[in-house]
Amino acid sequence: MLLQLQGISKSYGNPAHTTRQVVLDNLTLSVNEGDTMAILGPSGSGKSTLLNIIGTLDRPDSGSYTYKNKEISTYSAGELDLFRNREIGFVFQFHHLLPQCNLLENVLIPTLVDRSGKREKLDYAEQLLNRVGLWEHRHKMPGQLSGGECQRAAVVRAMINRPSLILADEPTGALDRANVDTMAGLLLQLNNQEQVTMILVTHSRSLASKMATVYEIVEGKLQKQ
Amino acid sequence: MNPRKLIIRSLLYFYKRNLLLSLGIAISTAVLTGALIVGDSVKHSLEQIVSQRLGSITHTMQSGDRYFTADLSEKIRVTYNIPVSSVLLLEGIAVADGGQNRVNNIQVAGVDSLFDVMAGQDNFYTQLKGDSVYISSNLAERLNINPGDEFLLRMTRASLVPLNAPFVSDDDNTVSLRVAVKDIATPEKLGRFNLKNSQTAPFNVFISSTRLSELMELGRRANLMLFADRTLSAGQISGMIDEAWSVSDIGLNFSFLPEFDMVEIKSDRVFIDEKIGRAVRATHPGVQPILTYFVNEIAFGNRFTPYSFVSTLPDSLPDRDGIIVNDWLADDIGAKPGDTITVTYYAVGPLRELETKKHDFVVREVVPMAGMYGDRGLMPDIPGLSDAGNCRDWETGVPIKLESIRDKDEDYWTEFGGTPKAFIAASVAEEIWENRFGKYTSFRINAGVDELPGLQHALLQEITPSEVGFRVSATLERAGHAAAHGVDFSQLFGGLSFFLLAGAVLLSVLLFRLNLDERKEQVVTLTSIGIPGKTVRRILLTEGMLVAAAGALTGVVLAILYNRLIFMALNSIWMDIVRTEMLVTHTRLLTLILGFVISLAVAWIALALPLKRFLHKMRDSYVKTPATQLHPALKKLLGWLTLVTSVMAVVLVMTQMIRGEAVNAGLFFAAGGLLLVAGLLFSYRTLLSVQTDGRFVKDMTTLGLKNTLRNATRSITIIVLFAIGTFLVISTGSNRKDLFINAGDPTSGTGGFLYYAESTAPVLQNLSNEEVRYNFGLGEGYDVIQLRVADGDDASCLNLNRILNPRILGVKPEKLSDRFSFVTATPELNMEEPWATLDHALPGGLIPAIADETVIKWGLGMKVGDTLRYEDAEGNEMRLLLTGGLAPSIFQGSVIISDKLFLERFPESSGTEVFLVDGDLQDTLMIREELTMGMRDFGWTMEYAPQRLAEFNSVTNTYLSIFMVMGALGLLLGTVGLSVVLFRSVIERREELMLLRALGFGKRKIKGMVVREYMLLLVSGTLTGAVAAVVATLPALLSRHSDVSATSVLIILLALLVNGLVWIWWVTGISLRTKLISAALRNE
Repeated sequence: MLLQLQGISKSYGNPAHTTRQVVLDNLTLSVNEGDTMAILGPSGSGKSTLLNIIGTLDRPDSGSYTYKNKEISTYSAGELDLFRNREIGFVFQFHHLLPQCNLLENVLIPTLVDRSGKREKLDYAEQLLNRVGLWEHRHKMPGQLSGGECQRAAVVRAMINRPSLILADEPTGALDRANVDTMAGLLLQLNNQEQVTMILVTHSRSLASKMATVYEIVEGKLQKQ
Repeated sequence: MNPRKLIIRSLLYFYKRNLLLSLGIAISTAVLTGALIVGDSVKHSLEQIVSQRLGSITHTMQSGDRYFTADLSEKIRVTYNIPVSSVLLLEGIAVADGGQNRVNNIQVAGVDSLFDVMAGQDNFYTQLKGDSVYISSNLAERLNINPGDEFLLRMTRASLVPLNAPFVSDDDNTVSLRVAVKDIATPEKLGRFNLKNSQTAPFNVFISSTRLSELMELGRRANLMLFADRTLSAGQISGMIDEAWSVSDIGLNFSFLPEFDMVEIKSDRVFIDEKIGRAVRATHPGVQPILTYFVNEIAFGNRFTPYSFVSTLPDSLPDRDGIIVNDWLADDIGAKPGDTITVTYYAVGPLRELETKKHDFVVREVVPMAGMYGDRGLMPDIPGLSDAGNCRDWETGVPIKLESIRDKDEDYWTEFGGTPKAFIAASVAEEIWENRFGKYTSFRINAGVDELPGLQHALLQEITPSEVGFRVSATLERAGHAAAHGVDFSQLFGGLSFFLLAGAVLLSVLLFRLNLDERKEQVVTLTSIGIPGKTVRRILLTEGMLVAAAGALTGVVLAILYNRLIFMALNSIWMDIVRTEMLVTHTRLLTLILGFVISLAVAWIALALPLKRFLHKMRDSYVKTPATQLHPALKKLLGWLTLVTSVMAVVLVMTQMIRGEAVNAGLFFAAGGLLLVAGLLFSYRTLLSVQTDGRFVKDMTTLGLKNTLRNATRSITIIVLFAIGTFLVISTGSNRKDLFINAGDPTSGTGGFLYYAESTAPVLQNLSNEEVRYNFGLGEGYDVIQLRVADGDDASCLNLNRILNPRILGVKPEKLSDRFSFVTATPELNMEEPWATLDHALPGGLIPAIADETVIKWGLGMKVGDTLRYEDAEGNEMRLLLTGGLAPSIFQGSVIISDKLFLERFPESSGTEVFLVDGDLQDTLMIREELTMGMRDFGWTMEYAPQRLAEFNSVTNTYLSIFMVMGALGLLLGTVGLSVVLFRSVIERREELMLLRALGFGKRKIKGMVVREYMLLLVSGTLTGAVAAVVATLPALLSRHSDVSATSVLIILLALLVNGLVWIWWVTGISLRTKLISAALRNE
């Protein structure tokens, strides 16, 4: 088992107020290595919150989160940073490429945390960029690329440290139809070739349908579709 | 919805950002308008002071060392029906509480009831009688006395005879009187009466002119005439005096001598000054000039007659070698015709230095004491001598050996008085006895008694009032000019606050630009829905200008507060630069409007240009052209400009180093300024170049660097703010003068002198003379260098008025050899021996003069090579060529010429009033005690020379302090700018920073990266400013007279960097708080 969430709860609002908005309510989830999973739900249902908790960008109010059989809540801030850097790759709705860096630099940004194996990482970046058809554009600035190209680069950036888990938050939300299909294909291809586990949050049922498992968040709990 | 509504909605929606922008504009408006108000207020205060010190006085006539009769002013008043008042104005010392409280340099004004007209009073000065006086409030405060109290008033004696004229006693040069304070003369009652253009109130004592004249034994005479008529010109008043005056007003006495049927002209001044002598000879060609001189002895062989008068005869009687003696003398020394006798006499030098001289004559005739040979009237009227009852009572002004006076000499004096015992040719007498006070003691004209009025009239027709030193001045007009053209505090504070102003404008530009950046999407939306670009521009600019108008309005209100703050400082901690408690705030509506309009204009430029660039870039981004590409032409231009400014700076410094002449601090400052510009250009070029060169991101530092370069304009603005701020703070800090360092060095501003002293009454003797020193109780081991003074206005930095005629000091140049330092010079000044050149008049009658460079530049508004114009004692134009400028010295406020040329132009100058004391540092106390005690009756004020210099330097230091405060405020503004940019930048980049968090970068790493980014800007700006400041202040850093060291510069630099680092660290911490960016990556 790659990760397990048990009894995870999360709510927003002033703790003094009685009208706190409960986003996740005693949620449980288990994910195996190599799984592909989609989480559906309307806006505000807590999809991104769940993703941020899995990605350790946010902490649950209560509940247990184990990753590769280790309890995440025991990690210090530094260990969490390292954990994110090594184990998790993020893909967001917007690519968030740094406008001041070219494509190759952007892809290599995660490698700045651990400077070892520089050559190997550069080769891997070349390999990945070739695979997504962007190697030729590696010296271009983000402003000189299309939205689809930028999002593909963002996926490469997520993969550069060979993470065990890719968390994709509406990865195709800002893309046109043609690019949506390309992006879906790319994610599945990476899952297939690199054996990386994939959890994506989306509104799109068609994209979700391409994943092995599909969940929907209803009233703070996951319901298998 | 229409554009107006959209603007209002935007203004309200973005109110926080708009408030910040309006604050930037408000600061710049407050600084600018505040400076204008300060200028208005100082000018208004100076004008108020003019009206307080002059009352209704419009013109004055000062008669120098002559005393005109009260009849003159009365005659003018009655004849021309204008308000005229005559005043006997003297200097004095006030002593109260048995010597506990003592004030030197006070003005004693003998006034009559007509002074009430000048003071705008009905019956105030009229009440002055006897020994009761009015005193000014500041004197009452200083002496700690009130109406009803008494104090001792010691005044310089007003004498009809020039104080240093030969044979006139110098005893009792002061007159003391115990006076009772009747009332306080407040400023409204002309208590600040002062004819000098200065904002500093003098210490005044007003006494009845009748009583003062009586004390001085002058009769009803005065030396100052006041007029109160704005319709008159100075020329018209001169004409009135010319019409109304009499020979008595110039000290001449015409009398008929019935025994010779001649008219005799004598002077109250003993010697008839040459100007009048020439006029007498011109009007009466047959006039007989007479010079009667007091000689020490007349000897033949071993027999001699002591102390006799010798007079002159026309050249036709005795030949040039001959002498005619009376029978009493011939009998006394046993001389007969053909014998050679020796006349021994004193030649009296400028400071009563006596030189004993001898002249041999051959007796041509022995005459009986009758007729013209028995005329006791040939002896001039010398107070203390001619009126003495016997020889032992003589007060001659020269040493008399009483033991050599025999009974027969006493008998002669009793019977014949000062009847001359011998007669020589007039031409010979002129040669050997002529002195600066005149050639003759009387004139005789063959004329009858009925011709007296005609003779007097003819003489007065030949001379003008100005030729005898009667100076008419349009005092009110000159005072108005001095006040109106005084130190321009608008300019001064505008200049001093320039960086603050520039900082505020830059900050406004920065904030406006940040606001625009945040509204990119809005601009795209507006454009995409078909709103024309021009309309978008108009909407955004209108919004900006409305915010600016609100800021400018707030700024105008803040300006009034800012002005109050500055005035509080000027009336307290910065009082050194204004020296008056009279500063009052004066706010003119026009100034406020002007400040508002200028600020709006500046705001328009500050907003319109960035907006244009912003929209231009937006348009470029639609077509996907990389907006930040550095145009090769711009790159080249920036490169060239950097090179040119750097080379210019290096050339300026090298020229100064190679020439090795007087260090020109201005050039170094210019070099520093150029280097600053070069540094900033280089930074800008680097920012633009590196941004586009595709350098690879290797680590977090280069990643941060890339971000710094992303917005070059924003980054360079921060660099500029810090560079200029650092430049100003370090350069002003380095230029601060150490008030006492190397004070003993002869090349320092003290000239190596121990003390600087002034006396209220002139010192007539040579204080280097052993006997004189003994008489004054002055010991050995120190020198006193004496300087003459021709009165004028104080042109030092302590005076805010614009001065036309500063005080002139006459000095023997050799006494100042190798002392003081010159910073500017004309070719006329020989830099090997600069002081020696003062003794040589220049072609065209120009007199070489030296003054402090600061006096020349700021006090006079001139430069070396310019000419100052004065009137000399005879009313002739006297032109002083400013040949050299001194580094700040104890002479500040005066112009220095040579003693020799001084006496040529002011021959009757009596004594010295400024003194420089040279001695050993270890004898400081002893010297001070001896001089203070020995010279106390002269109103002696002495100041430790370094202390005096420190007082002047403190003015400079105060200006520098203000500059530094403004620089520091500017730096604070720069820091605020940096903080705002940092905060806004982090907010803008929150997704990027959160992404880094998502990618595994720790908070500390991200914070470190942001801090490094902004530290880079801080360090670039600070170092650029610091290096330029060091070059700009090299003379101060290398000078022995400065305490500035590399350490102090490093400390300032470190303080600036630490200050910046603390702010960056703090603001980064706040802006990176999780709450602020936690939602950054959330899509829902």
